[in-house]
Amino acid sequence: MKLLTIKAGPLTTVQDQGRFAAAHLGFPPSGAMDQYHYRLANWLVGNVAEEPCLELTLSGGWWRAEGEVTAALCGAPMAMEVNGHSQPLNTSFRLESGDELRIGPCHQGWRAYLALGGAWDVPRPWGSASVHLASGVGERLRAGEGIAVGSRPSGPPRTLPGHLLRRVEAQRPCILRFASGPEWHHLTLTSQRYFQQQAYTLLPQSDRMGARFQAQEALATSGFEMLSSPVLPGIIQLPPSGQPIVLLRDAQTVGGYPRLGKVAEVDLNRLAQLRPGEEVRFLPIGWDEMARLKGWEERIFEALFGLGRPKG
Amino acid sequence: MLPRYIQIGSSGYEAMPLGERSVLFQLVSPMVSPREIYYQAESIKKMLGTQVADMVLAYASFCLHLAEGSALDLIAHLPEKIRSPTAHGSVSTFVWPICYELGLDWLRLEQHTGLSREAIIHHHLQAEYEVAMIGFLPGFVYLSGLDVRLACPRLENPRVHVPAGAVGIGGSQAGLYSLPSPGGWNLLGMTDINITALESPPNPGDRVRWRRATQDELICLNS
Repeated sequence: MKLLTIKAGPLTTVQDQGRFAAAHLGFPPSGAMDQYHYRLANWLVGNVAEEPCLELTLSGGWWRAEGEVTAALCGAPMAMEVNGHSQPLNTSFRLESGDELRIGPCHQGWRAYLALGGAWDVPRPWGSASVHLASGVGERLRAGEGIAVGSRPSGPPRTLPGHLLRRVEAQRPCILRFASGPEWHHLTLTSQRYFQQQAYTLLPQSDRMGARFQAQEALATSGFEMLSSPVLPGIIQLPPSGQPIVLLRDAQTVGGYPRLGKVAEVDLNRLAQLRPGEEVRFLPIGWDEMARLKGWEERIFEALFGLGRPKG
Repeated sequence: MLPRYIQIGSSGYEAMPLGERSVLFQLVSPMVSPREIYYQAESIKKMLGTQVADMVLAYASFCLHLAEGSALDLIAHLPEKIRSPTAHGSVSTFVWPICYELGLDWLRLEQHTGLSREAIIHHHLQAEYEVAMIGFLPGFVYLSGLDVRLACPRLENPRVHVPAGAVGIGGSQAGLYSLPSPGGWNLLGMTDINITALESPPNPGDRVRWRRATQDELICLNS
């Protein structure tokens, strides 16, 4: 089947779990900014966890189904309609040939994931379909373009179990747990305290590469020379301005700013739903706790998708 | 406890987590060449096999991204000493075409170096470069070995769009933008080499020489 785009939203791209085999060439992992809701959307339509989704930013778009497919939307609450009838999030539904799907803007959260049941016919350079606009790997979705998905008989409809529902707007200020990074001890003691006590505001200059924050007190390091060294999504960088940046999925592979810490993977998913102007606080935890949090979320998905399944 | 001191070949590193599944190795002994770091990182990568998804090399550090497991567990189970061959192995030399007529910052380069365009081209072609690092941006190649007379500070206002294949000078380093991106280096020419499309892309420590080419000889990347 094919989902034909009549109108694409402001930033709609194909994303998946990320590209992990091209870091040595300088490619960021990319991938869905909110991996939690991305994977849930795939589960709802009966896909493997690593099948691509459309990442909708701030607003959805307008599509027409050419052929039948099971679809689902997860993440930021965007109003959705099929042929003019409202259609809830977090539950799978069937699109018949000729059906029109419209997804409007969200007033809370930032990103939603549209999953289509079946194998996506998209290029997967270095093992991932994730679009990275800056380096020309793929492009944003445009009107007139379609997403082709291998046809598959419809399975039983699925609805998200209540215990997995997470409100993207819940808990403000948003708590970002982090473990200390290689240059943490270069922060002055006063700055270490400020970092953990101040509320930070997300700035509108943020994008898929990094979340920029601002607080009253700028942070300072006891001056030292740093050579460019590896970074990755979640790394908290401190540029000379003294206002931190949390690198996100389109992070560069090396950087020359002090690395204060690394935000927990589970909290990066929540950060991806924050709107400019909203507040966060940074909460220090140990690396053992970071590993435990990641393991906890992985077990949720192992239970959903089944253990020992072949890798997508 | 962390960080853990690990000896790889003749170099000492501190191993510490950089992410839940990423381990950073920071050189603690005196600086070694990019080639040496590449060999040492390859040794540990080979030892760990399929556990490693990919590896990022920098000037005095490298990072292993794991395919599974936790960074903490991996660090805890690393042996204290890892054997690594000294970097005497064969070094590849790449000869890449460059068209200087497509350079965009000649006026600036001439003013800062006090040299004529032909003199700059001469010194740029004479040098043999070493691949120092790949990354920051996809396909960006940092080359060391620039003739000191050609050093030129980065642009005050970086370009929003540097075309793919641009060859530049940033401070005392030379470099290649394989893919379009923003950037602040002085551009003195264009090549048709995109390392992300090469079957065997260069590794740190490999050598690069430039060969002067006309615009017609370059296979256009930006059509």
